[in-house]
Amino acid sequence: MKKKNILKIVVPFLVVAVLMGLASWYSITYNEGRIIYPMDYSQYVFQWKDLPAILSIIFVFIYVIYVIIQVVLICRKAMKEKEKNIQSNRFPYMNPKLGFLAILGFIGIIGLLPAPYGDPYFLFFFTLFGFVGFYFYGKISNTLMDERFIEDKKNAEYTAMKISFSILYIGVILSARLPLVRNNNTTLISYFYLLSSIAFGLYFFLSPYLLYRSDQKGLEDEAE
Amino acid sequence: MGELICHLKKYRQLKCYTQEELGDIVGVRRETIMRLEKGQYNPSLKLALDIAKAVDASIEELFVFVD
Repeated sequence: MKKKNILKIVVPFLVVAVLMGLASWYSITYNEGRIIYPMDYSQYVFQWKDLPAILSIIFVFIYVIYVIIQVVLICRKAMKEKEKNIQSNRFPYMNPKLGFLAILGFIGIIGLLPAPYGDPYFLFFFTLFGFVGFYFYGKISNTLMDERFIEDKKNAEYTAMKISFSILYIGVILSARLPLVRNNNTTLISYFYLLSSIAFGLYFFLSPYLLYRSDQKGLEDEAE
Repeated sequence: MGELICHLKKYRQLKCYTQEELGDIVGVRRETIMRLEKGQYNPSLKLALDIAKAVDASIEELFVFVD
């Protein structure tokens, strides 16, 4: 997301937060905390001193609607840019720095900890290791997609998918053979979480990596 | 399928085009032209026709399959 777009959301948030803070302070100090503290709204009677708190709530609702509109506009703009890229036959731009998000994959290790600390859901974070692929997407971003590139892309995706599915398939076959996995439901669930996460992560990494590699193949000994 | 032998380099140099220039004319990357010249890439019929037109040669002169 661009800095300008972030500011469009953050600045109004700060304004609304300050207004809400002021309204809360006013209500607690001068209005016995009406509206702020839980109260019986079935017997509610409007008082002028309630106005700042009511206005701050209205501002929050307006802000939420504003954020939704902004998100829709940003998404529409991104889709238009994507369409433009397709029309211009260029590979979409991606920042190679996104590859650093792969570090988040280490959160998956929490899922491997013993029961009181670990949670199998965390094993899904191993998928995030696939973010390494963004480094290679970044390297080939904005490349002209001619017929050879499209062919290489399809081949890379096919190979990556074949490897990932092979790992899944072998893993499932092995699950029936491993006594520790077979005899314990929790271990079985964790095992499948781990297996699918690794397979997906590998797919997300391999498809751009193989594309980049096939694109660069033979370029070192190029001749004019 | 036999081995693809490509005579593109000879015809391209006769027309004094660089790989980049020829790529721009037919709408592909320089790397694709390079692979074609090395016989490492089997082009589509459309690309083969476009290249043949660009270098004033026939497809048979440019691409030869040897068994």
